[in-house]
Amino acid sequence: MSARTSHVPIDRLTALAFVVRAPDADQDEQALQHLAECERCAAQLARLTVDADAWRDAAIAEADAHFDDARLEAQRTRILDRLANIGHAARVLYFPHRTGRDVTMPVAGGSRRWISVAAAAGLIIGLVAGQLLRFAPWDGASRRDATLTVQAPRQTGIVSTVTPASTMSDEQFLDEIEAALQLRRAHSLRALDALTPTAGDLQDFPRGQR
Amino acid sequence: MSGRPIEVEQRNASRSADAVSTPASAVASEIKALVSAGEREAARDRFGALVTLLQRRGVRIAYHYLRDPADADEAVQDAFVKVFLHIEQYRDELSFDVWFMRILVNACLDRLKSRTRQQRWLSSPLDQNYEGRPVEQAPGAEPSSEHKLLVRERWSQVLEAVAALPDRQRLVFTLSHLDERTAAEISEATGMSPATVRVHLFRAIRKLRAVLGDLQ
Repeated sequence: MSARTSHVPIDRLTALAFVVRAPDADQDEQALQHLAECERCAAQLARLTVDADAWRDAAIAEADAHFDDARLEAQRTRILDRLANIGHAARVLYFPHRTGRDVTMPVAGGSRRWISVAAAAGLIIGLVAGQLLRFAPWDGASRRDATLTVQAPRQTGIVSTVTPASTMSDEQFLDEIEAALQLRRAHSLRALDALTPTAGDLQDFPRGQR
Repeated sequence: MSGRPIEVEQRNASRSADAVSTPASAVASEIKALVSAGEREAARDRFGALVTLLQRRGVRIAYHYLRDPADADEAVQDAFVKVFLHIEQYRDELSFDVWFMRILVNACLDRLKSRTRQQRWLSSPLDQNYEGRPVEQAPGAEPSSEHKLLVRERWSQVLEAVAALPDRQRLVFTLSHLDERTAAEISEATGMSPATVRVHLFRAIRKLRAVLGDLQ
């Protein structure tokens, strides 16, 4: 656009009327130069400027009508109250009303942090203890207890292993009983065996004396 | 011809000189120093002065962006509380006004999002509530009553057209025209690139021009 020949486009004029632009832009410089010389463009800009100023005044007035001095003062008080209450405990209000003092919620910050640290420590201790129970030496012994090993007297040389009833089959169980019954020379049973009459001894007695 | 171009130049010149040393920037620096020294009570007392300085401008921007007085009230409160909580992050070499504007725009955006979530099933309040009702105030000089009526009719239409702009266009336009911010300052305040700001301004102005063209 040259300063003398072409007029300032209407979009540009509207922008000049409504929007504050940086004066160092080339286009603005040219437009301003043209406007200083062209009555038609200047008149158009003047009309648009009236609209722009009217809108601006009206917009300000409309906002100010909603926010009068009293409302702004109330808003200022609320802002300062909010700032004063930052970090303070929240009060619990009972409904329906209960006599006695109000309970306050725990203040955020130190105490809450302490609780979370304690919870984390408890969790870690629990995990470590669990690992220790799994790998500790006494754990092996306790696991061996789960499978009862009955060692027969050394003289017999027979080793019998009794597994818990829940895991042992009936067949196995009967085999174990049978094996135990055959230990006639078991050291611990020898005295008792001597006192106990056998089937052959009983046959020697008459039926009435049995 | 109107003295508008000269006014524009003067306004820009004075703004660039006072960009950092506004009264609000000075008070903000004081508050920041008090907070850094651990004197929060004194900082809070001083903060009242800062609120008084920026409050009216803040509610004007928030109101025209959100188009709801209650939301604007809340957004401005939130913005000031955020300013106080983050005052130590404010850098003294920057304009406090622009920093505050940025926080305010973000607070408005939060309100807008939460309102959109809450009222998704409702039609926009812009469509049904906004009347563009003028407040009794004569613009500028003392023109004739006929001219006043004509102007009132015009700006009423423009007011409605501005209110009907998309959110970002309305924000950019409001900051530019109502708060007299340059594109660079709006870019800093909104996080949009200067080119995006210019595009939104251009679109907003073109729509407004169409309204004005119909009126002429």
